[in-house]
Amino acid sequence: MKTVHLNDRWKEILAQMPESGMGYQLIDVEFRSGRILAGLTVVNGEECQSDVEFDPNEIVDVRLHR
Amino acid sequence: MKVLTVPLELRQELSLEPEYAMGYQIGRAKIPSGRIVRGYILNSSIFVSISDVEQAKQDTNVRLLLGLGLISAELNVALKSVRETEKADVIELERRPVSSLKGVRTVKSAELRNFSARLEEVLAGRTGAAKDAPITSTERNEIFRRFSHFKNDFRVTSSRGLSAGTFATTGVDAIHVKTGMDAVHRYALPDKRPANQRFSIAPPESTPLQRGIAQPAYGETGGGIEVIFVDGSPDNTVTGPVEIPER
Repeated sequence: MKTVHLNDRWKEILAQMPESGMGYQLIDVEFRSGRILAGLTVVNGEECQSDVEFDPNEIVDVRLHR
Repeated sequence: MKVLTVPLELRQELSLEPEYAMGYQIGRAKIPSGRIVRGYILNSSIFVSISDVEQAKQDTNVRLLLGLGLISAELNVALKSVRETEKADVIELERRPVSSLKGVRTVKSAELRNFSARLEEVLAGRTGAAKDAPITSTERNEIFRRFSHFKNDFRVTSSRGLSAGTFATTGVDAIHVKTGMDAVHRYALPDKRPANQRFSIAPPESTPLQRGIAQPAYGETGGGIEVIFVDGSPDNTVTGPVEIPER
């Protein structure tokens, strides 16, 4: 499991979204390429845990995982 | 079955009064409809009418439910069929005649703590997760805690409030958390670093809240009380963090 640090922009947005549990959120991340990584855990709105590496600068949207 | 929650100011008074028997008091409460009802008071915090207990005892399914262990079977059954809660306004205690006492047993403080935690579970809406619980509200002077690995917890706003949808736990449940790793286990956190930064939250009365139990996840058993501040908590209601031991 790798930890990717999200940009401050996403941290601010995630702070306005409900948590999934104490201190974390389950999110879907969409990239500029159209690819989506679903069900990632992000801690404190900044540390995103993922099985695959990705460039946080390529993220165009984050939303809560349903 | 209807359970009345005892207001915090009354709890303090009741906790100074003698028990009728182990784990409970008996008294008469004025319920919101204005009626006076006789019932059991558990842990100075919840009131169950005696007639509701008698009624619940007739239910075979209720009888089969697991026990709380420390209180009488009747009260045990009553607690397992809790459906709704209201507040009791006034409670007048009944004294037990000394002649009716048959014996005395010493109860270890650990047992009492466990009993108290189980009662909190009942008040928290049984055993479901907070996200699935109905929206209720905070009581006056109620305190909550939040455990985090981060001193700069992102849910705490710059004006010392909480943003909407933030998780925390009750002050009573937090008594069980002595270390940051206790919090990881008790609230089933995915981040395995110690959540040893403890924030305190003192929201005003009637702040919207969902109460539930942390479900097993991420290899942790959970079981702690979790609450969700549905609309967050207003400015200047969050203090800390206080650093607790990591392990």
